[in-house]
Amino acid sequence: MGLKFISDNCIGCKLCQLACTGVKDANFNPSQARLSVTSYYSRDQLCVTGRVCTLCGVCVEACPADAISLTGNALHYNFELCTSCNICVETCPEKVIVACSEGVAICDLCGGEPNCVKWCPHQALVYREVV
Amino acid sequence: MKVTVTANGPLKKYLAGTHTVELEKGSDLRDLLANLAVPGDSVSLLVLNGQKATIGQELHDGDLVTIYPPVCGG
Amino acid sequence: MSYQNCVLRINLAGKTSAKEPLQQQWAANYLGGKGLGIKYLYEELKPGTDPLSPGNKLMLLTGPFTGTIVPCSGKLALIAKSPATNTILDCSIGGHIASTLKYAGYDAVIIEDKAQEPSYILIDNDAVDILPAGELWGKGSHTTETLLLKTYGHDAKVLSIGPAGENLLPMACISSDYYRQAGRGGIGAVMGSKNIKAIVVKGSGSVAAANMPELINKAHHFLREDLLTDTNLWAYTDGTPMIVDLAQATGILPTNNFQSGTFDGYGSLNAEAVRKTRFGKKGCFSCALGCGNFSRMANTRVEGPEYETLALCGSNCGISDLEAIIEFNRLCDDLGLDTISAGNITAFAMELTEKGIKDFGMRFGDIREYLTVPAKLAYRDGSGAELALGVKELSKRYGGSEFAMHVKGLEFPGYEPRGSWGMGLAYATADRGACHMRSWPVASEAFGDVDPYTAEGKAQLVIGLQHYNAVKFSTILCDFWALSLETMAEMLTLTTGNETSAAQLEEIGERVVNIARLFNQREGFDRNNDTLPERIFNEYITDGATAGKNLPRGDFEKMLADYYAIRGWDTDGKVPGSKIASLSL
Repeated sequence: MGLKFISDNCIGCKLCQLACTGVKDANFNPSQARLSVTSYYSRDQLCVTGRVCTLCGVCVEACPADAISLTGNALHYNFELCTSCNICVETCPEKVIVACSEGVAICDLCGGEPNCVKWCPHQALVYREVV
Repeated sequence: MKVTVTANGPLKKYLAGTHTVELEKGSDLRDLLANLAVPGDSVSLLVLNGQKATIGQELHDGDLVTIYPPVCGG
Repeated sequence: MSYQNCVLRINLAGKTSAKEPLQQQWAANYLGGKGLGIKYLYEELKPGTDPLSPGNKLMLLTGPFTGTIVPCSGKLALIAKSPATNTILDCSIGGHIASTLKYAGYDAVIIEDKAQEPSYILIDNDAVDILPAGELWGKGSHTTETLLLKTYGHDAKVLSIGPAGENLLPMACISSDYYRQAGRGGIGAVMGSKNIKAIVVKGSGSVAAANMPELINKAHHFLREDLLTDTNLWAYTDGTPMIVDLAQATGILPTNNFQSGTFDGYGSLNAEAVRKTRFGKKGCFSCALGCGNFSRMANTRVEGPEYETLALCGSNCGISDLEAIIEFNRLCDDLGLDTISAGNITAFAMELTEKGIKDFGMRFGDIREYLTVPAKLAYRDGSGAELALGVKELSKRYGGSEFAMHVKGLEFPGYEPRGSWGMGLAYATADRGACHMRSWPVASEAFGDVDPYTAEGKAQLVIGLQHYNAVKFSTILCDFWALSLETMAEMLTLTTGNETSAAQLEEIGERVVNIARLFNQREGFDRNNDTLPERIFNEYITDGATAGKNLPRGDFEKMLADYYAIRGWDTDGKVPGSKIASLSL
């Protein structure tokens, strides 16, 4: 099971990012969310982009401290082992790992009930079987 | 008699497109709504042949009815 | 909690800025947004200040909900003294700037004085700079925003004026996100008069509510059970063009400068017509409804057109060509013009021409001339030099005041009061002139069960709605979520940590309306200004569902007398000392 972003349904409200930091960090700060959506005008187009963790595992491989693992279809982050080198932040292909003052913030799919999906008003985020 | 109904906005999920409804002669808009699967609370304005109508207004063969949800603000 | 407890005060002449604590007692009494901004301006502005002089202040206000997960809380309040009316002016802009300002660490920004040269303000979290506008000055809002986003990145949010604001038009607006506006009353001219082309904001901080887990839970419950319901989803499925159909069916769609309330061509500019040109939906920050329709046709595009534009720039000008309306809308957005006032001045010029009073070379339905108006206005070019005066001043010059559709100098929004008498009272008593955003009795009258053609009960109706909107725009929530005061109070309690009830919110609403009234009173306004154009009293709607209707002056006077009496104001429409005391204004 993994996250999928459906741009056609996204209105760019960022309730997903608010839910993420609201639940995980106990404050509202979309720039620190473990996913990102943007809706903006460029020339004559309305562009909608969304980036979510795809469970690609690049961060797992890249982490020199073995602080990230992929088990039970979700990423697990061990703050105790993290050295704040930020290599995972740089190598994540989706750019959804967030550097914090100490350590990083990584999407863990909220234990199976992703809050971003719960909050999305128009099914632009779904949590489903990854093919 | 036959009456044509169209729903607007979010009410389209109950009634997509245009529908023809068969009603007893002497039926009114209340009877029509009872026939449709649209929740009463969701209907705010009823328009009959292009003009605002009241719920007790009688219908005739060939009437066009449009139903609207509540709208707040403009 | 949820406030940043910080106000940024910028002095443009000295190019200095300073942070000061938020006035706690005022925040408790007025919450934020509209109410708090008006209170600040009331306390700080000298009465009689020329709105286009350096003495006027431009204030940007967030509210306690701004930056939180409370849905539909993404709007910013902008307050100043109005160049169009000399009354208090509060505008509201959507997009994504309000939350960004709050994340930058500020509840409010107060902009004072005037920059020595055309400039823009950069607020990057803690760092504040006033920089030369250089090549930006003279450019449209759209190019300005594109250039600034290129320099500062897409995370930056921009407020900008176009040539209309630079040229100090009383109908100049401020834009953001390309297609959202703080529209009315000349707020763009205030910014232009301060030599400020744009305000760029970057904010990477956070906002916390008093009770995070409970607020998130409760807000989610309201999202599903109260917001995403058939009552509010019209905004998502269709957006405001839906109102074209409603107004047409009830005979209140302004047509040919408010001569009629029904328009033969309405089918070309209604919800269905706009849907056909729609290429995407866009919402403000935190809004689940996403009312923005991105419309594209062969040679033009706009996020919109909204109902007000379809009405005032469409049916009111006799124009039924949607592509022309979209282009008129896009031009207004880029040049920085309020479409409501621009549509009204166009229609007024059309009627003056057709009646042989003054030839502006424009007639109802004439697309070619119609499309030249926005540029003429923004640059004060040709007949634009006179049209830029607005309908009130233009009618003083040439006549036609009976059909110059304004109150206090602010042009009429898209609802014919002769078909919805409560709306006449709403226009006459709104704080900033003819405005539909202070109270919208149309919902219960024309679109509902309340008899539109009686004066009975209308004062109470309008007063209740004015209190509701006043407090709503102070917490800052968007108009389109029809939530109860109880729901608002529950969320506010969890957000700020201060126990709040619906009754307290109602009182705050009353307080906000009264402080606005007091501001106007101090500027010399009274009962004489709470009136409507002669057309509404003495002329009859020409055809359609409301054919033959007028609003008899006697009925209007009765509504107004009831209004003052219920409000506890004197018969001159003034707020007495006892009221000032009882509301702790």
